[in-house]
Amino acid sequence: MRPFDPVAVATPAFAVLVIAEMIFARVTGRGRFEVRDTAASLLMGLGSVIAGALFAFVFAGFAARIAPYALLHIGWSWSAAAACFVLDDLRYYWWHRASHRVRWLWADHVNHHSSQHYNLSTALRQPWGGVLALPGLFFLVPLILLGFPLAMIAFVHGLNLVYQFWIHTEIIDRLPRWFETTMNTPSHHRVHHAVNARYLDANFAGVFIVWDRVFGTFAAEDASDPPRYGIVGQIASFNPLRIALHGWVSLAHDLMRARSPRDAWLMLFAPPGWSPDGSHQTTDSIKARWASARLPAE
Amino acid sequence: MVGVCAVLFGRAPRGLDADAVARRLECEVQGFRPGQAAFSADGRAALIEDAAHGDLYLVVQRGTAMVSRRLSRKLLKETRADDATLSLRLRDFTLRRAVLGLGDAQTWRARLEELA
Repeated sequence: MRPFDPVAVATPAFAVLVIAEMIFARVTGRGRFEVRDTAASLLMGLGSVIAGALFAFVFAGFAARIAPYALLHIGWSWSAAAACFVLDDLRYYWWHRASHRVRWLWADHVNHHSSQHYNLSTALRQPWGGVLALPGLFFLVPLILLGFPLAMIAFVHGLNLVYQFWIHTEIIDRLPRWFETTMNTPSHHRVHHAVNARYLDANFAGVFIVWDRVFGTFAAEDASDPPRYGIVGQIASFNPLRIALHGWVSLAHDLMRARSPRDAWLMLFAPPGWSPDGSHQTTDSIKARWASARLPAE
Repeated sequence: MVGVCAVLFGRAPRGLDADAVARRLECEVQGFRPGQAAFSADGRAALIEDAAHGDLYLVVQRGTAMVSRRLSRKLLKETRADDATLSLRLRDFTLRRAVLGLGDAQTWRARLEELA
């Protein structure tokens, strides 16, 4: 079995599908596009590829240092790749959950959520600063220590990303029940990109939505509360550089004003929105206020 | 891809609509109740009061979407007003400046000066 880069192979199809979705959205009125938003997403995708290539050595160097301590030495086979794919998706779930719950990781991941639109071009809106989000690398350790070849891990992760492309759309409503139960779908991922209080911090899955069901983070799309997309404090720029940097600038700004090492630590590792005096909103506080406001009515 | 998008979706967006702004803030701010509001003559920005909490929000149009900020002294870097223009500079990395064409710019400037 010869590994290849699934994302590179799929890129022409991504382009064709983005254009097809635009035409479909224009003809049917289902789905929304905004020219500058789409341009920003595409430039973010391009920048992410360049940044990824420039900093691949960080991942490779980190992995190469751990690989000698692997418990097993798993060779290339389709069954090993299938097992690696499932375990990598579990890793993705926890990395993704941490990326929403740990400010340091959110500073990077926020870029993917920064569009108020939800279409296939949003899938390509990827962050540039992965190398700065160092704690994210540690989620790879279990797979490497289990003994999966590094190239296999990279390969199945590429497949995972390719799967996630098509779920960034409003034009697909619900899929057959068995599929919605087990797999991540456009409906589940719309919930993940939504800022409605009921949907915050839900559906972190990459491919298998079962992880959210097992670990208690699943939320179903509710037709009475259509998703509003983006982030809690929406950004006001289509400039890719500003989009790429805004999470890091905000984190640096807060760190410079930290009054104690404890505050600095919590600014890095507590959920986004944490502040020493509790004056800022976190997703937990937004959800709690929303839940308490609903109580008298129900 | 951007070219195709421009052909299919390139029309200039309509300006801010008072109802849409209020609805948006009702979604974003728990218990928001629209109070006094002022819309920029070009329809691209608005100031709107939350009558329930006494807060003041700046809402700007970005493409076909809206972006809101709860205004505070901490957020406002500079406020200038002449007869018909209110100009705000903000300590916000992605929303650094907002210019509103308002007939009563001086009144709103005075209001902003009172913010906590």
